Amino acid sequence: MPTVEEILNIAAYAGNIILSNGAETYRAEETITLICKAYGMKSVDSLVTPTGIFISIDNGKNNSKTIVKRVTNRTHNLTKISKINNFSRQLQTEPLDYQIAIKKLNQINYREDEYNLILTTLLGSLGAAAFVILVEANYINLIPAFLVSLSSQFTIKKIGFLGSINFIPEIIAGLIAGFVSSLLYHFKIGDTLNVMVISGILPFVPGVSITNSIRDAINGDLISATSRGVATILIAISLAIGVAISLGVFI
Amino acid sequence: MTVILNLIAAFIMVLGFGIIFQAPKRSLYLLGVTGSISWGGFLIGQNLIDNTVTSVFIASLIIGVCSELFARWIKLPATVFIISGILPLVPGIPAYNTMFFILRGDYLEGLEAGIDTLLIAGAISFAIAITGTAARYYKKKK
Repeated sequence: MPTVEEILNIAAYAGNIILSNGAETYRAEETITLICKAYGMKSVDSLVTPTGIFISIDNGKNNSKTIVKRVTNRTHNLTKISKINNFSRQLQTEPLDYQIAIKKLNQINYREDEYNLILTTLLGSLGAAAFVILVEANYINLIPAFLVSLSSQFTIKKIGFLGSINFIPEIIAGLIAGFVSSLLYHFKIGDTLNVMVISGILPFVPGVSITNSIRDAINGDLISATSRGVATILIAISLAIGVAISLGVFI
Repeated sequence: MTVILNLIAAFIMVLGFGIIFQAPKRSLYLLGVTGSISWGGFLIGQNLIDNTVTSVFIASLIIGVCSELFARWIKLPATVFIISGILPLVPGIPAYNTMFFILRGDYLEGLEAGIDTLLIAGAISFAIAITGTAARYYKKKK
């Protein structure tokens, strides 16, 4: 049976993985509570914000401990979210030892991506090109939209250190999407400029974060709701700036 | 014919974005099904009511219900289906128009497009929040 500190470590690690891979705040809190209760803790209080995790647990013998975990990187990886979900459910039936639990979490955190770079960009661009059919634009735009999306996604994966600065990837994505689509528009390969640009920036549009933000507000997590909302607005503005810079050259 | 093509396009789009977000392999075809069904709802809404915000709301409700059902069925969190499922509905064109009009100096038209963007984004979020909260409520009751 792990000690109180070790239980805190397991819960904070699991919460960190799930939060930095795009889960909602309430899901992270729920996971942390589930894990701590599985180890028989009497009371669990967790406060999760998009930038940090705070957990305080009590084993019923006036022995309460607290941990603070800073969360820095935020991406999307649905496979890791579902693996952690399974992990916390598995703990319900049989509480694992500390070493085994941390080893399992490490395996989840450092596992290889489900799909490699080529597959992701190609199929993702195909998905973005399907957007042309959905908005009932001329089908002539299908191939240009595919090319625009491919170039913007591939550039983002290959920009190196710039990718780790907040909001810079979005500006570059907008820049590339605007540039390539105005080139294609100029040479009459596609005929609707806005549909082509949007297909290019669609993978970066913060549709999920705005949804999560309003959802957090409805759940009463006002801190995460406001911080996520501000992040969403800034991402949208960065995309717009990128597109505006490159379109400004051509219009 | 156009309708069928639309549904296939929605299937491909949601599946493609599922791959971008590294969704688990066994959920991929259900992601596509979610996209097709919700886009069908959107098209029906467009035909009956002819109001984009209402149609988006209906389509998002369908996504919410589908994601909760599929999540129970193949034992995955509902987020997997929601994150990629809402992408065809995300207000890309109004958001782009906002930026474009403001860039050209047409501030009033830009404001109009901006309000459109916010209304559509709000409709998606509220629909997802309603279905998500309902699912948790019934789970607790059981």
